[in-house]
Amino acid sequence: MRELTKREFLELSLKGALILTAGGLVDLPRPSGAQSIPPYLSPSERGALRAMAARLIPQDSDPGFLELELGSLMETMMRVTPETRPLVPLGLKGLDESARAMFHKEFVGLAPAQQDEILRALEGGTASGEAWKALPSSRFFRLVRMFTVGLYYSHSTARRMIAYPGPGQPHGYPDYADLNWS
Amino acid sequence: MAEKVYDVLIVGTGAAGGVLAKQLAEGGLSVLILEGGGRLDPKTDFRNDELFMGKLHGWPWPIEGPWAPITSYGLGGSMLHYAGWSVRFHPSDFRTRSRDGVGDDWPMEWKDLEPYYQKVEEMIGVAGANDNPFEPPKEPYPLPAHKLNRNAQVVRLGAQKLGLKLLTAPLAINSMPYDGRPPCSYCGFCTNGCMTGAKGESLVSYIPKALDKGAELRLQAFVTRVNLDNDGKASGVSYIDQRTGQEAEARAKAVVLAANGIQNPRLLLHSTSNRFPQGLANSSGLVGKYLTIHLNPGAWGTFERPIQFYKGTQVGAMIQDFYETDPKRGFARGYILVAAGFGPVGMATISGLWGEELKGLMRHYDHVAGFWSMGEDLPQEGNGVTLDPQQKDEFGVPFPRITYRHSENDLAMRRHFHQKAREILEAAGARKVYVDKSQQVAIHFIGTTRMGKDPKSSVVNSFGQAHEVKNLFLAGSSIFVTSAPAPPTLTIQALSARTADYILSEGKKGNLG
Repeated sequence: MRELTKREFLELSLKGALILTAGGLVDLPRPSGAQSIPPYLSPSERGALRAMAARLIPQDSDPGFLELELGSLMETMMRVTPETRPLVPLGLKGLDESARAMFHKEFVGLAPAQQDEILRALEGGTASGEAWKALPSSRFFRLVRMFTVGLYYSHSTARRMIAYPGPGQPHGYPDYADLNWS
Repeated sequence: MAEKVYDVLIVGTGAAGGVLAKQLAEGGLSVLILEGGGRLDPKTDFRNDELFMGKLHGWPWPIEGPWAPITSYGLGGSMLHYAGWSVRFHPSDFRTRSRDGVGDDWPMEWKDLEPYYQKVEEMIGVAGANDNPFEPPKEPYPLPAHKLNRNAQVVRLGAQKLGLKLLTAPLAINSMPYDGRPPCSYCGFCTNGCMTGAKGESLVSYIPKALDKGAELRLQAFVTRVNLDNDGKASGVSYIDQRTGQEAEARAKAVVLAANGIQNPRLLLHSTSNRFPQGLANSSGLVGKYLTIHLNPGAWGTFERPIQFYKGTQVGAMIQDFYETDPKRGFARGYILVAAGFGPVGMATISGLWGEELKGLMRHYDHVAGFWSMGEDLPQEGNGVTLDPQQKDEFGVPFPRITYRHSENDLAMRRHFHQKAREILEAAGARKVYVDKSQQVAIHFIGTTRMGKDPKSSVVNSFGQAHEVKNLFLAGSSIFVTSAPAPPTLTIQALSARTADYILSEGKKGNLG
């Protein structure tokens, strides 16, 4: 007999939200209530987050993060993960503080090369901004990166792009040692 | 009704708590096991989906600083996400101060641990090849080695050209049926929850056996402090029953904390009293200090022909040529290169890359082979775990605060790894090599209640027994003195089996309580 902790329940809601929005990334039943989760970022915060995700996984000859329409799903996941939830608005505040310090403009209004320069500063922990006193910029960078790459490389389109066939179970990969190189 | 007084109470159910629960219950003691998390059922709660299994790679409490610790919270602990990689430490690892002038010596010899390595390899079912010339000879492993996975076969080409020895990685993963568990199906999800039970781990190898012998288990019991009696001995613990939100107490003649290298010191620091104003068993002031977390750089090459390194056991083979100190390299101690495969999310995440570089690597995902690593970071007094002076969790326990900075020695080792891994991959025919960017992810928590002979410079003795509280034991990597260039799991189990024997013999003599 298994009982859920509050934390586990939130986790399950998270996964439910995932299915809800992505439509079949994971084959799980949809928990009730997941649909009613409202967005929690302001329009400008949302714009900054998506602009950041677009640089983390840009469009090239293949679609990037935004082209796979994963923006709202990422926001939902951040919203329902209690450990993450308060960090994102704070980090996005810091992102714009750093952008203004470096280029006198908000992050969304900058050229891709300038945005990359800011992200490198966040990543290296050298970015300036009040917010980074409470939340190290490298930790915020890594957090957003984790959500971005986790969602992107779980998406069926991205999996096709990289020739990953998906789950091995229930049969596994009995041919795991048959490389046939010489 | 008076609360039952158990012989031993164990906090935590991972590699340390699992071994102790099994050994002590089998030794005839009455054992109570407290686990803060819930129970995950591999058949229904695990899936071959990396995003879904992210729950095994998190940290459920807020944390300060740039470091993101990774743990699995629930029955079975972080063995739920270990790769099964079960390698012994070397004799030199116990003597880094004497041999290399860094770190500190352990208060024991490798020989003290050897019989326990042997014992836990049999308990957990390690498959290996006995092909490692860098460690003392040993009995054959209980299970035959797995065939080399694809990644290992590719990097072997490069290792051979450079005169390096590619060694079979000993794995606690069934190569044939063992201990009532099936052989591996090679789905490649070792670190994301083994669905079949082929991977030996606390959840399937220790906890059920402990319960069979009468140990009692309370889940969702989050321990908040260790309690003392009037004589200064541990009398038990207070915990929150998360199902009801109520505080409860459990009592025992001996208490074992096996809650990992962050929670162990956090609990001691929070358990203050008149007798121990700095935290329980902390007159030395060393509880929480000397945290080490390992170095884990990676490097990956793209090859002309498909490899599909997501197939098979994730860890395949390893190179130990750079394990010991070589003064010519410009840094002390060393590292293991390990040929390890990852699912796409794991690959993208641990690479630390982003933007066009990440997409460039991932575009060739099924043509990638490469290395991950386990490097010894040096213990420094300023690195550690303290209690947050302001913020408390929902149970009233201050958040842990991690302070950590790599030493120059660590960074030199990292550069050396990147260079060597690149040479090997290029010799194997890689067209392009990518090296990781610093992740600041702490995968192991080591040394925060370190052992030693002198109570002034250590918290516990070599049996994990607190110098100042004879019936209080610390178990797990928190008692390591140095991190060693190897994964901690097997050594945690060996030390815990040794602690269990000690508790059984001291208990018989009436020395515990």
